[in-house]
Amino acid sequence: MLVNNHLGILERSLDAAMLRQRTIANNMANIDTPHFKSKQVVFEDLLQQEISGSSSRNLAAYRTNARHIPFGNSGITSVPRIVSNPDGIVQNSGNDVDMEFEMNEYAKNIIWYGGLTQLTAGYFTKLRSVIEGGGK
Amino acid sequence: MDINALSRTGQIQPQLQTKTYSPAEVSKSFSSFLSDAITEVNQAQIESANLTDKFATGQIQDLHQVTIAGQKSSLMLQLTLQVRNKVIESYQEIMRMPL
Repeated sequence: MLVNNHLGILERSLDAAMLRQRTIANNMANIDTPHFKSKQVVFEDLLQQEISGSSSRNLAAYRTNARHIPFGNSGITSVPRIVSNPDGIVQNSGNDVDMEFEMNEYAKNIIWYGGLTQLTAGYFTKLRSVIEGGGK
Repeated sequence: MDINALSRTGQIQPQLQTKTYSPAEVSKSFSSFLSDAITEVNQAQIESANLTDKFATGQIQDLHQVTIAGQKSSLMLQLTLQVRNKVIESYQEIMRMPL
């Protein structure tokens, strides 16, 4: 009951937000490292594909009976992926960290993370108030 | 212009119709009201959950929409719980009445 789809989505998104935070910090720290390529976290699109079921990579197992246990992926399994463009160059040293872009992503990520924490807290508050009978 | 029009109003007798409802009718309308209210609360919860999913998948750029829906659903839930508490309280009050 407690671990349902919505809580799973929130948890995964928070994980992704933390990972993105670390990735951006790593990019910023390496702004002067020669031949360093900035990394980005891809998550929202994967989660969207997972939820809408439009992912072509996630083939459902062939079952001859509806009562067979579905093997493979069930539930939310989207994991954030770290991608990088090996050909990108911003500075002459072969480094492609764009400070303005990273700052933008950083601010966006903070807002996203804050919103997700609020929603998670609200979810638990609602559950608690139902359990406690509305608080007399 | 008919200035004396007001004088005619005295002829109209106020007809106070006290329509009496049978207990069955009252309980039926009350139950439908209650069920509508509960459905509305449930709808708010579902909408809030859907907006949360959309926010997690990055489809919603405006955070305020999600927070407002969340607060709305949370408040409606609190109100429902409080109404339930009051109803049970009044029931217990009636049961305690010395007959």
